[in-house]
Amino acid sequence: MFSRHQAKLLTPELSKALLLAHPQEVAAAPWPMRKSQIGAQKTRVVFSVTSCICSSRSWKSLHMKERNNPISSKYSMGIDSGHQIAALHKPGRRKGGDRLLGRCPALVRRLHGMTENSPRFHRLIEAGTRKSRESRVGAVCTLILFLLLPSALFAQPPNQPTGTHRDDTFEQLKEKFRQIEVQHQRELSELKERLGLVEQRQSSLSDELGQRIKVGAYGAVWFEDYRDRRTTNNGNLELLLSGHFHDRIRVYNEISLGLPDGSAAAEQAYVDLLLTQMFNVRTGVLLVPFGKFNLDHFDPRRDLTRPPLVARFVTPTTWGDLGFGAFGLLPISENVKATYDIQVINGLTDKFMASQGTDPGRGLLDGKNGLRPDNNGDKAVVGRGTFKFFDQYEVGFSGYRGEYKPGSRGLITGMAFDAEFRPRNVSILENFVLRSEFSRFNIEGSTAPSSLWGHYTQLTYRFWPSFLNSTILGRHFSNPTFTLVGLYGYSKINTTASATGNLTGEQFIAGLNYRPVEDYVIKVEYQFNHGQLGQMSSDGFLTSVAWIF
Amino acid sequence: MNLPSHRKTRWPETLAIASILWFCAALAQAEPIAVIVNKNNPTTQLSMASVAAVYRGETLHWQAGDRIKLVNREISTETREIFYYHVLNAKPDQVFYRQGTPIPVQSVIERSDDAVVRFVASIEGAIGYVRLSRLKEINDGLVRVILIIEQR
Repeated sequence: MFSRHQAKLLTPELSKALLLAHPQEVAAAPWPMRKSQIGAQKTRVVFSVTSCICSSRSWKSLHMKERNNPISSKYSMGIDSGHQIAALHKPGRRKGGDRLLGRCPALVRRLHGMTENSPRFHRLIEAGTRKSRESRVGAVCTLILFLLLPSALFAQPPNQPTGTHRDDTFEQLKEKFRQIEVQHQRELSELKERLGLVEQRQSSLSDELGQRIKVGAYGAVWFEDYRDRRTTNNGNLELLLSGHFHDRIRVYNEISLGLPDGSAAAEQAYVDLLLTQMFNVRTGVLLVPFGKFNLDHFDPRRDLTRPPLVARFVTPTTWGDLGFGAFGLLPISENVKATYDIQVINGLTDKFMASQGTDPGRGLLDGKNGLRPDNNGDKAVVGRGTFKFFDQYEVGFSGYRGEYKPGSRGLITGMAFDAEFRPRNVSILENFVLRSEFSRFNIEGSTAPSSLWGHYTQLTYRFWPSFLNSTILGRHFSNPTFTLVGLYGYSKINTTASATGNLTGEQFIAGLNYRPVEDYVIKVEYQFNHGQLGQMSSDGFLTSVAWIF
Repeated sequence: MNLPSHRKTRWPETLAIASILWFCAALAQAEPIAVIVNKNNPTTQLSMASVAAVYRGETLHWQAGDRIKLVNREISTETREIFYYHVLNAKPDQVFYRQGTPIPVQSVIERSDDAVVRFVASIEGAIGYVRLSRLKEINDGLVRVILIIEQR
């Protein structure tokens, strides 16, 4: 092996040559070598060793092709008494003559102990030089011979094709065709692979961006024409911000932009920590899980313009509050699963209580906390659980319990029952959806009101006559639908603020929707109202447009 | 009013023909659907209820922890219709929403079985459904079948 010091003395070209001859010895040599030892040859020699230095006769001759010289230059190598390797340049070729290249005791041992003073060394050098000159002439002659010989041997006389050659050519063509085909298939598969990678990157990127944050909004504008009042336009516009800032942490914000009240407010603004399917944590401004309608109150998703009475005066729909909670899904069997959503929130306040100048018919609407700090320090607990059967039937149970007075004790307890049924496997019924909800609150320590309850039942039927596909209603859309809606609702508020001890409201609504796409709906409905709740005792016509993006 | 006797006797024949036609139609539609995932997905098998939970947005992550990416077909396709009826027990145009939000469960809509296979093959967390016969034709080992839905 070379020592590090010895190796440093080797020029690159010599090391290359040695690498061919003694790869085990040179393998440990660092590269490149010291510049002063390399000299000008570094840039001139291309390291094409044309004869092996281990050859018994030409061990000392290294043929290296110079970059600018098509003919190989010869460098002879010798060893002096100090075990130094020297290059003997071609006489007259380069100024300087012999040049020290490096030292290699191991190589010296391999070269049978010869030195430059050895007569055999000189003989071999001369023989190598002579042999090199002769071999160059021989190589040129051989080259010319090989260039001319095939032409002479395989030359075809014109217009005399031979069958064998034609067969050979055909076979060659077939082989060439097969190779091209294989090459084509390989390139095609490579291209497919690259295309897949590009698609994957694009999908990942868009997915990443899409999941990070989504900005949307939903809104509704409606026209009301009740018999006992002037017509008006009204509306609702809410900004949606949602996304993930981690694969298991997602945020959702729903900001009401102040229509029609004029003040913006966060209806929902929470963050979910998604741990398992069965247990997840939700914190922030939460949509209170009391009744299905409150959780599904969004204008573009509803089939009617206004919520039913029970969802306005009993359950204060769009009811949100500050707090934290847990939710999850529990698979019970193949066809039955349960969900739960339980929260601890600040709870309702006593602002709903009728006083001088207030409307006793607004139920618990005014009791919403409005995202203010708790007025009594007692946290309310609210929750909803559901059972889903065969993904057709859903029944839900909700409960609420919380103090509402700031000073004295006063408890509000509430319960709700909701159900949804989507018939399947009977084609004529598959377009029907039946929803129903019952809700009740009892209020301790209050007489105005002391209790509230109500219910509604809604039946919807989706359809689309195929002859409308060619009209303007269906021509531009892939899945337009009409929906017929019928709703019956009843609500009652027991309150001493009324002369009769209670306020009631009864309604029947018939409506028709047109959805060119799922996210845009035009609704038309007529309401038959009776009672005193919410000053909505007269019949009325409503139409609205709602959208979400 | 009494019907003529020759009319009464045709009811069984009509019923028999209708039954045969119904049976033939049922046979003609019996093309299985394969639910596929990426070949690197460690999930080897899922029940129909689990696949339904995934497409309803109730299950968001694979057991290994990766987020699930849904691939769907267009509403008008027969493949989607079969998948929705048999797996989700829903009409093909039904939209599933995240509870308490108006945001639908997100899915990528692809326009062919080949495109679904390509997508699932290139995205590790993806799940999709294709006709089994087509999958056999185009399968290049990049996806794994985790459920085969035979029509009843």
